[in-house]
Amino acid sequence: MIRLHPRLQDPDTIRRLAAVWQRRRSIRLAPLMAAEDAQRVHAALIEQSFSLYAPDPGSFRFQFWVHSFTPEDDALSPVLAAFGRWLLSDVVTLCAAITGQTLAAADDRKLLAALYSRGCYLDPHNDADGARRVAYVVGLTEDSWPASEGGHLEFLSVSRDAVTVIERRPPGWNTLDLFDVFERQPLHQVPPLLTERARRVFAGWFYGG
Amino acid sequence: MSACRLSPALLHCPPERGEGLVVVPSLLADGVGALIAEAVRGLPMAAVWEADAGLFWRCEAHVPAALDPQLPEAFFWARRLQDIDLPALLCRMGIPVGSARPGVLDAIALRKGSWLRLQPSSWLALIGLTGAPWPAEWGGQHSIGLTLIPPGAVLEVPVLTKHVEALLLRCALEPV
Repeated sequence: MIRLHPRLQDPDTIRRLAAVWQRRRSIRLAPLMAAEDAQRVHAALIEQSFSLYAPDPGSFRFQFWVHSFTPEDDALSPVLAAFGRWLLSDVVTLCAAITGQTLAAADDRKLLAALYSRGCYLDPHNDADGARRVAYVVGLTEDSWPASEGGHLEFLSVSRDAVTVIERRPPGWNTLDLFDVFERQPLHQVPPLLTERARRVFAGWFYGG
Repeated sequence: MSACRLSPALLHCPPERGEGLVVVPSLLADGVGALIAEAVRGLPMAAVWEADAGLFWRCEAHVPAALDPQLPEAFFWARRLQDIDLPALLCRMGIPVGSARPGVLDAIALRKGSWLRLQPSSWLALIGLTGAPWPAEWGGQHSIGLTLIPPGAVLEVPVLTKHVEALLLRCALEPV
């Protein structure tokens, strides 16, 4: 069983986070899980095998390692199965409370664990596909490094003359990044990781209920 | 078998072996690298990570000894280069090696996110087909022409950070 951090079970905290969300439509929460649960999930995650995922040159480009699963997969570790069930229930409820939206998990219940090692990146995009309401990134990165080494989540402002980073979030431990998904949402990216590091996240979207 | 397409200058005066990495910028006769690159560009590359080499795009092409009209002619030039002309050149430089995988072209593309850290246990040749004609801060810098890596030496190519592409052939060599 995975539990929210006790702070996120406090209604006053949720109200404060909701107020921040109303202003910014983007937020980072930390810590997300109870501390020992984060350690357990991380330990289970690093035991998994990942596949390098890089589409052929075309429109939207990225390159990182993935482990895709549903909580119901037979061979899945019990801790990751519990994490998946928790993410698709308690975390959906938490995000709905913060964002004031009715949210639901994807119908296929697929979850994506991603590992960014040296050379991994995610090109600018805004996630909008007409159905996604909120994007989430659960961070389980132990290490920290400067933005000059790449691998940070960056939100961009794009004008005719320039692309500017308006916010940069370093890889986090036991964090939840939430941001609104809509057609005109600013682009975000993860620039190439230049050094031998390991950025570990679970990332995906919640949909309209 | 196709003709030798090494730079004529090399046939008369082979480069010095020296210590460490050996770089021979003008390995191929004029225009040959571009034609081999054009053929390599059509291969179905896939992103790979190799513990002793790095993260890059790669495709192996098996090229028969006899010309086959189903394959670009430049592949046969590359096969001859790797299996015959390069070992002959290296032999004249005092490096008696032959192709470790005759008939197999190991084509590499450096694309955004690619990097190399080659530390071979046996001689390894990298043939840069396209060079890296972009600013050094973009990464992915490598030499055009031949880079010869002795056993135990290291060649590092930093992470390429932009959507540009460089094409190379990797030739594993073994003592003869």
